[in-house]
Amino acid sequence: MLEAKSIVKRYAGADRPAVNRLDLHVRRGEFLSIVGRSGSGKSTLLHILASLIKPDSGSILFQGLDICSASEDRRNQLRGRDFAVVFQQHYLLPYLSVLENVLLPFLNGFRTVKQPRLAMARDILERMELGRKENSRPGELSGGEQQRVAIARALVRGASILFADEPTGSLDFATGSSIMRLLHELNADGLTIVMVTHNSEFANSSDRVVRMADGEIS
Amino acid sequence: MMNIFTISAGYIKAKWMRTLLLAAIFTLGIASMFALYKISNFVADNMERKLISYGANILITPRQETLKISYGGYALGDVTVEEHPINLDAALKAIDAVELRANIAVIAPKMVTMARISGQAAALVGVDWERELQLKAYWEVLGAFPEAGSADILAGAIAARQLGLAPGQVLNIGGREFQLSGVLRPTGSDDDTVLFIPLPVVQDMTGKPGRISFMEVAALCSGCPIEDIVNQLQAALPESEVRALAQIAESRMYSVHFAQNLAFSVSLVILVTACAMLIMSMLSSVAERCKEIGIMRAVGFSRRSVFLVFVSEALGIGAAAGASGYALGQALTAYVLQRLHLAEEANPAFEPAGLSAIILAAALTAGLSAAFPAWRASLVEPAEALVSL
Ligand SMILES: Nc1ncnc2c1ncn2[C@@H]1O[C@H](COP(=O)(O)OP(=O)(O)OP(=O)(O)O)[C@@H](O)[C@H]1O
Ligand SMILES: [Mg+2]
Repeated sequence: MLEAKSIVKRYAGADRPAVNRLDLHVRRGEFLSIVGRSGSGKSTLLHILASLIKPDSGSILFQGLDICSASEDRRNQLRGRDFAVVFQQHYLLPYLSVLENVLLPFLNGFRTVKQPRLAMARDILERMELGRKENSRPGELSGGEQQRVAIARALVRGASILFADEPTGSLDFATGSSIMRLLHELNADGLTIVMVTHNSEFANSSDRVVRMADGEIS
Repeated sequence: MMNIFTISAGYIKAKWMRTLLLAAIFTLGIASMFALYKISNFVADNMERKLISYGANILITPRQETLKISYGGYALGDVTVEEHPINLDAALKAIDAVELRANIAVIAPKMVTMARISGQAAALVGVDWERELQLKAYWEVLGAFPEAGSADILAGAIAARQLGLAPGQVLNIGGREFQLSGVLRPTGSDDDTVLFIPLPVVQDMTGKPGRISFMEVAALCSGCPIEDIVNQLQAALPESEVRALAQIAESRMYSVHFAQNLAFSVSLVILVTACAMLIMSMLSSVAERCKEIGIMRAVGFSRRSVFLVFVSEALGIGAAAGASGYALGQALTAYVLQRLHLAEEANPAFEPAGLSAIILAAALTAGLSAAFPAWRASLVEPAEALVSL
């Protein structure tokens, strides 16, 4: 589904690359975990795969297209439609309601959000057991609820791959486990998931674990 | 209704203190600009209308051809070679034909001569009562003004004192008896030193019937330069000399314009300050909202969309400030005009077109100011903002 070849990324001023000549094939429908020590380049790799940053060299094939050399418009479209991202922090906009936050991907133009999309957003919220919180502010939710809203926002446009960077990192074990259950459910429904985690139990519950060290897969 | 404006509206509402402050400063700038514009326009208008009642602003005299004679550097004085006294009927007919006739309010013909009254020399000015009183609307009198067409006379304040005249007195001038209907209160002008008597009497005394010495003209020049009227009159009366007496008017108008410019500069400074504050405040909010921008980019927002989020925020603040600035400006105008005792004459009317124009202009000004911070926001990379350390 997503094929990364010989990815290199060196941050300005760093003495060695954060990601070094890395190859990775993400298969359709799989739940892939990436683990490794702090600073080993996991987040950098995930951001490159999700087309949030461009690698210095290498290519990533998605639906027959190299997303690294795709146009700005195409990359915006990929981020908006095909790829979903979730981070350790929820990054919800505090001044918007839960429903508006979930609809954020649709709020990028003058066109108003119409009924089918509204219904879709409510469906997802329902699924995340947040149906009754759609008018709350993010600040009024618990950490687990906030993270579920962030996942709902990521998936509202019907993405086929979810990139999650330590999605349970700032949650307690029980809440983290509930998020993991949710991710497994979504995966069972056909969503491809690439997750960075420090939790070996969560990692081991996935289909495949990739270990990184010094920007390479070890 | 949910679209890109939902984001800016949410932020504006959440940061209501900041929004209010920015809107207040913009409102102040717009209100002062708008009020000063209205007031100064009104005062200038009023001024021009008042200037008419200050008397004549154009003088028509016979063309005099003088010869300066000097001998060995010693000036022997001017010799008037020839004079064409003005034929009143012909002149009036010619004036009636000029293009800007409608702008000429009053034409007051005059003939001057000297006479002896009870042994003292006195200057006599022959006038047409109706026209003269129309022109000198500011005259005040002890006694009464002569009726139109009557043979009564008026005396200037100084002339009356020198000759020991009082209203109601009968005078003998050149063998004829005249009733002094009134004495003018001091005007501070040449009018104080002369006697005003009916024009035909002076024409008889000087033996020049139908002729006059000069004409004073009051032209309404609101919206038209007085030079145009002068030029047209000069073309119509080639034998005469037409001059504008607009120096007073001009200097008065000059001070009005000066005040207008000063007021305009001050409100411009307020508005520029408002724009600067908006720019500063938005720059800091861009830095503060870096992660928000990152997440917008991460869920598919283009740079253009991010730019729009920030510009629309400023557009909203600007439009609101435009509306409240208009209201405040109206109130300010009414208040100032009332303080200037001009309020009865011009109550500022509500103009929907003016309101829309001001809202639009205010929104555009704010939007333009926001362009730079919004551009900075659009440069934020999707991942850059999300790195958590
Ligand atoms: N924006 C950046 N600018 C410069 N250096 C960076 C940047 N982001 C990461 N790095 C560096 O690149 C290397 C890899 O960082 P990365 O965040 O990918 O590690 P990680 O495996 O996700 O670590 P952690 O488990 O702590 O999140 C580190 O040495 C880090 O200091
Ligand atoms: Mg990381």
